[in-house]
Amino acid sequence: MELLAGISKLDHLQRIQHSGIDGIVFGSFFSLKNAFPVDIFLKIAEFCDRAHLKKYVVLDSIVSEEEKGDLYNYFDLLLRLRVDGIYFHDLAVYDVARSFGRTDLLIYDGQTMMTNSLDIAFFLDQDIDVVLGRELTLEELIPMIAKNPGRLDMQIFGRYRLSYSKRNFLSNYFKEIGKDSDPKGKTSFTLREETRDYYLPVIENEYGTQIYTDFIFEMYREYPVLAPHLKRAIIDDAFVPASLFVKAIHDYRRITEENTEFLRESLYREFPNEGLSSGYFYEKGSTVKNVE
Amino acid sequence: MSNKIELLAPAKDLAKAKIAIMYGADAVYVGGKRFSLRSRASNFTTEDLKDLLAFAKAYHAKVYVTVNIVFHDEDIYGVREYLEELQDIGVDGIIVSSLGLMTLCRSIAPKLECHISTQLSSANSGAVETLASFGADRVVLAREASIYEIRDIKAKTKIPLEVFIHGGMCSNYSGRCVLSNRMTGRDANRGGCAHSCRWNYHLYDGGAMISDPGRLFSMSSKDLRASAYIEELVHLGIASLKIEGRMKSEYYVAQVVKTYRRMIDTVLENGHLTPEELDYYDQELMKAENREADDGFFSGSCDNTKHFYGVGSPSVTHDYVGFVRNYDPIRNLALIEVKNPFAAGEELELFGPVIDNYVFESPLLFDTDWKSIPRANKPSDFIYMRMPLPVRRGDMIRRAHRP
Repeated sequence: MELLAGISKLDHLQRIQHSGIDGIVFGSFFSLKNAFPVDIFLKIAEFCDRAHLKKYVVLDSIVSEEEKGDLYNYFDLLLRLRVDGIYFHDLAVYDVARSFGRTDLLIYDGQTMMTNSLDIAFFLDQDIDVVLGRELTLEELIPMIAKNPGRLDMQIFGRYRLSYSKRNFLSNYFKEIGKDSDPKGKTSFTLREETRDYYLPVIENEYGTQIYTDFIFEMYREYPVLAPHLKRAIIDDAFVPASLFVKAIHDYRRITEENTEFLRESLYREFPNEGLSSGYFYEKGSTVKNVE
Repeated sequence: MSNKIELLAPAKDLAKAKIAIMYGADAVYVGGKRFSLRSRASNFTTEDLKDLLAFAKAYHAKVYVTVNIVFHDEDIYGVREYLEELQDIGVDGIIVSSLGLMTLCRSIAPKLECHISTQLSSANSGAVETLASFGADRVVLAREASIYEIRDIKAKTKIPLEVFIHGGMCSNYSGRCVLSNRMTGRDANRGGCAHSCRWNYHLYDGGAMISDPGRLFSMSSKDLRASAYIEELVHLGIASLKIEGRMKSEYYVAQVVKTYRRMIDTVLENGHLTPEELDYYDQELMKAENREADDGFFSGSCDNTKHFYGVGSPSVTHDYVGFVRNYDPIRNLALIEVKNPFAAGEELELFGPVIDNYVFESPLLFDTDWKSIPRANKPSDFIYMRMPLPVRRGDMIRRAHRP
């Protein structure tokens, strides 16, 4: 199994370069949260080559018709950079990859849409790797992984995306209340529903607006059992403090069934206010369905 | 001009599906008891579907069934039998968001057309072509596609395309929102959406609250009304124009379907809609809408004027007051199901599949014991009234809205 670090900040890369990570997940165009300006993106790619780190690129935006030409050119660039894999969401990426004869590079990250064995089998049958959905419980995950040993990817640390819109919610709101500043690209905004105490990171960029979980997902306890059966595991840094991100990488490198409780307690003790959580692992995400 | 185009309407239950077809829908989409995203809709039993299919056949209309939840493994139990049953009873197609399910359907129920739901947010020709190569029969485009993009996608693809023209909008890409899951534990992609996007939020920058306390942040989107684009969509050769609203009333379904039916027929007959005609049809649509509407992403982007902040002002111009249950042409008496209170002497408007807005003064009203009553007070009560012209079951009565 490969342990990968999803990075959205350059200094995070510098801080983990000697951590023993197998590869980096990063992005530029068509990337919702791991996006770097293209010049920095190219430097990261060079850095990975020098450091013998694998390069995985994220293309997880929904592609509009007018962006298709740019997508083709960008894919061509990724091939020339000899990336090791491409996490994609929009089927336009599959279409472009097929035109280059390189669907072998693709890893489908359906996010909220990848929640069942039928869809996992569908993509695996196309020889496309798959990232498991984040809303799955552990009870649901275990048989999926058992059925496809060594073929599935999983985010094992970080925040999940709760929503993705083409609308510029922050800019629109600023305009509505007469606030004269540009919120695009800023990572300091959070939303709190007026009757609930969840603080949800929100970011607006050229692809629209995305909202992330109030919690930071960790699976220290479950990792030693699941990891040997995964193909790749991703630790993501979006809206995660650098020190926590770095600690998580170091911890996941050395978690065993014997030390997992010790490491987990240490993590929660050191970062008591970061909303660490086991996510939906033990929280069934549906109470309303199939009403008769 | 004979460009065939389908007007596709939603229906919460059998009665509303029949209304949609009577008022001019070429096809209806409905949910079964399982596997459908509108878990709060009444939804159809197999017997309901058989009844609907027989009714639709008489009108040469089609019936599609939504099998569009984002499945978890526990939901898949029974889906094979369900698909086989839908095929056996003669359903025309299913609307799916799962490519795995589409593949399964292809193998066990090949007579069912597979339409790719807007849940997949297909917004470009590459995605559409890919879905076609995977076996889809039709793709519902993302509501985020502009008319310019729809034009390009249509030009570059061969598979039939379906476009939303009217109704509620997800403010996020369909299927890519699990706000409801986090906020309420209700799975948005399995029929439990709590519309958390329509709630009010405080906005913080760092630790400082920057939202206006009197006008909080919201993602609530105004509804879609793409009437101005019908002419172009017809000319483009879009296969199906879709109305959203499986939770909506029979009045909404009737009025919206009838209006778009007439718009499409006008374009097919004359090649275009005049500005005066378009204005008239917009006014007709406003008789049924209870939320403000705009053209969504059709014109390219959604700025702050296309959102609700605070409480949106209702825009409905008419109240639905009566449904014609039966009509005796000898005595010119109609049995009316009361929908909202109204009184004798009030100015009302009658409309139906073949009756255009006929304004009349409400005559004497009688209860079912034939006692004269000054006012029909209770929704769901039945009354008799003499009609100003022959009517038939399914016609409706409304009254200009009193603020």
